[in-house]
Amino acid sequence: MDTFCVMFRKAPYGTIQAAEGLRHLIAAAGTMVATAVLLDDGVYLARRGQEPGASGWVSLSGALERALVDCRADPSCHLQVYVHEGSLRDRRLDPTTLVPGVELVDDDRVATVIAEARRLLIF
Amino acid sequence: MSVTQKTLTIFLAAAPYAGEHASTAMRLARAALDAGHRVNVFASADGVYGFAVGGRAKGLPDAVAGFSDLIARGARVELCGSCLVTRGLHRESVLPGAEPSSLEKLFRLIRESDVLLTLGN
Repeated sequence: MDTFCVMFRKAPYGTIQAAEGLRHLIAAAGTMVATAVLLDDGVYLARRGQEPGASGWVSLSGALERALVDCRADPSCHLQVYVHEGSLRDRRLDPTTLVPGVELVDDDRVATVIAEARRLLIF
Repeated sequence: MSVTQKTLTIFLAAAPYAGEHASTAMRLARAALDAGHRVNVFASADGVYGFAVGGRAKGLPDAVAGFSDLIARGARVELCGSCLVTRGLHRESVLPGAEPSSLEKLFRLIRESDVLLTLGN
């Protein structure tokens, strides 16, 4: 089965990239094996408790969390989300503040996930 | 068909005149067609603005002219449908031959491609 990887490098809300990446990731998970790699400012996407309020944005961490929960309940859905622990460390982010279901990975594992993906979209 | 013919898909997410991404996409697509390869361009987010008719660029690469030429040469161009709707662009607002599309169609293009390039994110 094709493995499709979405790489998140930008923080949510400041630009459209994280939202667009999430949209593509969720759609992909229903049709092929989908993986996400969050690194650099992209790790902020997985930070739990985002409340954009009346800004017009949906909570992107909430959408990510729902996608992981929904996917676990659907045998035909294949979604794995990896968070680069070095990027977390650089930003002094506590891993316990991330949405449940993501996996912390080191540099080598990030490289392996990207190398194993047949296709990669970068946001 | 040449046995070495490959399919290149370019995922373009940048507006045409905010940087060099659209210009790079056009140049890469042109080079691939010149070499006998198949080319798909899928424009998403602000990338769809590069296919909006009516613009006239002077003194910088003209996206509308460039993409029109690529379509005439056989490049397949698809535009994210919801991105068009978000920006108030309708079918008649975009270049003939540039087709409103969907994520489902994007993933099919990706699966059918030998090479996928992301530009603009």
